Amino acid sequence: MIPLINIVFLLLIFFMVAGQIKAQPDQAITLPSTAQLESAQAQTLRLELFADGQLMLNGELIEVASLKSKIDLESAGSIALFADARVTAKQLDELLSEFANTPQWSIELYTLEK
Amino acid sequence: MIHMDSLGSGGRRAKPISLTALIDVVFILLMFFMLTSSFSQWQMLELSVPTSSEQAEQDAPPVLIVYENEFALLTDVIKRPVSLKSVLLELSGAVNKPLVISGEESVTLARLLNVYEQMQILGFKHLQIGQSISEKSE
Repeated sequence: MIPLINIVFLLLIFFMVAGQIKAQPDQAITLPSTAQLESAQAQTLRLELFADGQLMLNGELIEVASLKSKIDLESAGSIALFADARVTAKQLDELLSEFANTPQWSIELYTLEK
Repeated sequence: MIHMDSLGSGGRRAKPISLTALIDVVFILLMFFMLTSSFSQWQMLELSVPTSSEQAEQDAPPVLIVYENEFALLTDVIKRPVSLKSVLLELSGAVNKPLVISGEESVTLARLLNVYEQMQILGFKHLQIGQSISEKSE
């Protein structure tokens, strides 16, 4: 019994120290993997772009056109974009065009480190 | 007769911690941390927001158009799709200048990022992912 609880304690401490608890993007999204980009910091606003073009803002399914009504684009801020690796350049463009002429916003595309 | 060292402050006997209950709690904590923690690291790339100023159009950097299998450079020299090698020959010596990487509409994000990283390895310092380019407009 004692050696068992020792091992369980060690495992617990390993997962507590080495693991990170962070909000993951939706299961359906496969993030593209990269090796050269800079490491990311967590953002409060998160957009998730699915392979079929669906969009989620902080876990809530929204239309691309209604993005402007959900975010105050006049103020400055940064947003984390979790886009599926299969998203096409056109779909990405449609999303970015919603942020047109708002240089005070920074859109950070998140990828998975290889 | 009760020994003094087994007495609590109130004179009652101190109960030993039940090992079974303790291991139950520790197991639950272990399960929680195993299931919720992740070891994957994220990287990020700042996307440029489209702007419509005349100034930006005047000093526009060269655009590398990425197709499914080929490349093209949006300059007067190369407009038809060619290999990456030909594009690099054209761009050699311009690694310190800005370069925009744009995908043809159906090109995936994974492919765009792959090209972005390849150009980064080759030494290009001012890279940007640009707006997609439709085949019809060429």
